Amino acid sequence: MTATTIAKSDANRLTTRRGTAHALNDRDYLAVYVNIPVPIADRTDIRSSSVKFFAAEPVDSATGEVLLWVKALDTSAVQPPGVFHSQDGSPHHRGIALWPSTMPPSIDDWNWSRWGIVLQQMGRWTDARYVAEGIGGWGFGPFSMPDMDAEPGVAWHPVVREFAAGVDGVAAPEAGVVAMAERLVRAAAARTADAEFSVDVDGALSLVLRLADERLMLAELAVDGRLAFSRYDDDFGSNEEYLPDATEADFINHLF
Amino acid sequence: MVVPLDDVVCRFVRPSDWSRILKRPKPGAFKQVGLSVWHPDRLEERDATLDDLRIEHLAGYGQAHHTVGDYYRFARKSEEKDGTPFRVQVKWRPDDEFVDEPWRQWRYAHIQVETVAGPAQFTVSFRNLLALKTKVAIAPDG
Repeated sequence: MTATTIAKSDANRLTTRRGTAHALNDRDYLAVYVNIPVPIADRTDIRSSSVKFFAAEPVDSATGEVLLWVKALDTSAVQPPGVFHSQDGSPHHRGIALWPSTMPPSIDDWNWSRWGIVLQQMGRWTDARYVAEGIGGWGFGPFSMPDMDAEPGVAWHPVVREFAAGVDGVAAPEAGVVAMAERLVRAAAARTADAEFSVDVDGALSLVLRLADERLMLAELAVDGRLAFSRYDDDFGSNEEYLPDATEADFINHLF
Repeated sequence: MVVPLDDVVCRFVRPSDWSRILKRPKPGAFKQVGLSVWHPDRLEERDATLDDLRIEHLAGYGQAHHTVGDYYRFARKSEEKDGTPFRVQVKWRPDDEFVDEPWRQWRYAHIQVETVAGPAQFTVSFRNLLALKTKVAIAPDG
């Protein structure tokens, strides 16, 4: 753990880092504490101006892509990783962008200014959506400051690439189903406290989600586009809401 | 031959089917048409253990234990939820057709969970129940 203060001016020194890829284990959690400038400190629902980063799954060893989460340090009971409340206190949850690029070999080598710009943008809550969509559509792909003004390019999530490739003995999903998979994964990654994505033996995309309010959601997108999910009050499956033939909109709506 | 309802059986779980969030298998761990499971007590009767079977591609796999009755009960619940017929049967399956080398030396403890209606995948709700209601869940190595 390292504590660092980021000055506002750091945002002006943002650069895209090209370093040596660091293979994070997919079970690793990297927590980084930073102090962020005024915008978030102004918010009434976060007493401290600190946030906590989690760098977690999935790490694509080929590209060094990594997913980051943010968590307010002193509101852990209220705000799970990756979730912020809007400034007016309304219950709309937002996630932080996913972070691309290579990982530095040690925590001391992290480019703090890069975290700084994300935090500042996230801190200006009204800009959060812009940020989330501006960085590769919540996603993956090289990031640099000017790109934030550009249309996000298509950069498939690694698990969606695996889904699209198909498995032996099963027809690969059609393009429309792959595109749907990408939207589901992006939405889940951005709007849940924790998420696991994988491809099953029959080629289906599997999603295990811990929602912002700690409820659990299991979802499955079959290669033929059929979507089913269940939402539970806890890990043991109580008070289930079960939609065996769901739409994409059903899924998104149940993330909240 | 059917297996007694109170008997415990074990499904080996590949690492990619293990959920860090659930701390148990994902529903995808129960997807095969004709689910191979093993009977630990029957193994023990002949001085073998489930660990002995964790060789070749099963090396490092986790475990999900259920009673045989769980399989039948979850199938009934699944049927109620989906409103469509769904029944399973849990049978001893020691034949070569069902057990590959090098596990044939333990064939006497091999069981298969199958749909009654013929080869078909289990329903989503059935697999969800198996995942969430796993009685004993042992994580894969590493």
